[in-house]
Amino acid sequence: MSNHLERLIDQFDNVFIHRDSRDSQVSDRLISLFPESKIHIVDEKPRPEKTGHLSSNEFEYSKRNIYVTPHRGSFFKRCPGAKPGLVCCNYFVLNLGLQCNMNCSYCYLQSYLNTPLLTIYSNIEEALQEIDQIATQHPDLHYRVGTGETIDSLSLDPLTLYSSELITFFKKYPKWTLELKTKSNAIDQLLDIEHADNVLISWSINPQFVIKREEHGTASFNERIAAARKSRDHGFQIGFNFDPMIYHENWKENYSQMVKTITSAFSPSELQILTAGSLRFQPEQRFMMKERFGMKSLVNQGEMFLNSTGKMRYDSELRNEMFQFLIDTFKEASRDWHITLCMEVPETWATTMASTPRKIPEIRDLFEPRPRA
Amino acid sequence: MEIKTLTQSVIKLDFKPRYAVKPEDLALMAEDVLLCGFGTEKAILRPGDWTELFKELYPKIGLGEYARLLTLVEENFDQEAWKKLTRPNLWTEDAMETLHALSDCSFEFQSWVDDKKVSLMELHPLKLLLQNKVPIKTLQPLLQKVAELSRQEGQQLLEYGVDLRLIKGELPNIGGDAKKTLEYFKDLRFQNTTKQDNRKKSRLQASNLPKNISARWVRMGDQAGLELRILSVNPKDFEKNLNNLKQKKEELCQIIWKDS
Repeated sequence: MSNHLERLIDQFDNVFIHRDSRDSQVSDRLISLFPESKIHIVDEKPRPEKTGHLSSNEFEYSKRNIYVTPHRGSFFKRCPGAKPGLVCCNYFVLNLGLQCNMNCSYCYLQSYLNTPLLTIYSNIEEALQEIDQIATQHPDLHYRVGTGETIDSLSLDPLTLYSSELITFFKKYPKWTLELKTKSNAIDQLLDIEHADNVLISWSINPQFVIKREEHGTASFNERIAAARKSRDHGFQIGFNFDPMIYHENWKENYSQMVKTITSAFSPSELQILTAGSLRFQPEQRFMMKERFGMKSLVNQGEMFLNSTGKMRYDSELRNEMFQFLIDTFKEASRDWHITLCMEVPETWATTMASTPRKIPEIRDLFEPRPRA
Repeated sequence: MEIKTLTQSVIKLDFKPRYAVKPEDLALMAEDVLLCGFGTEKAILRPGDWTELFKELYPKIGLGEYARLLTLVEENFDQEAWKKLTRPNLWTEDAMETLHALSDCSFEFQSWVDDKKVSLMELHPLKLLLQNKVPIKTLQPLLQKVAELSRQEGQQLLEYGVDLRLIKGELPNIGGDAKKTLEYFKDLRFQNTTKQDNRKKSRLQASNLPKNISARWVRMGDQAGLELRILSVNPKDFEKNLNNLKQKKEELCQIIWKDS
């Protein structure tokens, strides 16, 4: 049994399996992996959904208890970046679960979740059917589909093996890209799966100083870099998301060191996606963040302001400075590095990139509107 | 109507309500709980559940009053009594912790909470103090200033004050009136941004603007910028002002945004 699997099995107190999911592959696998004492077959959700936000204790509980259930509703959605006021890169999301086993101080799930359980959807075959329907209509368009919106794409993969199924499925649609977004280094289970060169594994990454203070339970900076190299060597496309960039006293030094390591480990042509975003969260989320991570957290110490999009963000000038610094540091290594911004307002694009994305040849295609799912 | 002499076994639920039951000398009890007229020695005994009588006598009470009530209920009854007396949103762990913290605050602060109808979420900083084992009475000077402000300003001062106490390990000095304290705490909490804004403000002050044009550096959420006011009395004057401003454009940009 791999270290990842052992850690995951230790990490969870209970696995609740809804009776309707009992015959699914994922349930069989969980039953085979977890000790019997942790497995419970249930007829209803063991903890009901709440009308408001979860309390800190409920949120903590949800990180230690799995609930396997069929998903009722649509799996395939547009990324939340496709909102008025934000510049969107046509990313679609496929949600195969809800909640994450890692523990980042800034995680938006803290203000999003109302289910006090880590949910894994058992009916992945229905998700694939949904994609089949859309893909049949638009097989020649370049859709990007990511699974890391409401759950990390890979950190639980040693338990579910969902990514392996998705990679195999996406072989049918070579023009589509499957994007697996993670902060883990749990990649061994998918390295030998045959793919159509259309699978992109991307790591949300920050300097180790930030990872240590704010991204609890995630893979270290070096582990993420090592996982990216390994994935590249197995023919996967790879990328990095510098998101959220977090301001701190020595941010220039730390981000500069991070860029140096990346530019010496990879060439520009090896990294298909490099995006940057700055810290942002719903205003009410600050209460839970302060409770759970205290005021020593860089995130909680941040000078955050309410932005026109309704989220708390750093001062726009500081955001521009941080993005510009990151871009300049990459460009110092080579002019061939290209970075796009994630979930940013047009003003930031205009200031940092001196343009909007559809006017930048290297990334124009990403931002061309796609038919809605 | 049965009149009962109050013995020691009677629980006086004197949570210091803001609005006393009228007439003020009326004393009512149900079961063995005195619910109004707390200074008297005899009370009218009403039949039925005391919690029902409580809700009848005090149909609308604020969070400050609930905080005082919670202390009394916990001293004398089990959790069920609390559930009968309150709405479900006050049964949650979050709400109970916030009310416990509020019960440690001064009566003056609790009354501000009730007068301004401050919400549980807005009182979250108090809960943080409790969690970080900071005695609430050490923040009394802050709470006193908060209670002099409007709901929105008070909530901001409370949040900045608690943040600063937890970041720096002590509360910054409080002097001057409440509004000045709010400004001072805001500057401390947003230290870097304030410095940056102040730098822009002083550059702007040092700049030589054309006659009839005034300018100030303003912050709106995550953006800060130059706000101009032009006073023109006729179209010719307007054109002249714009031309004067245009001639100053390069100089102004250079002065204000030289490090951007």
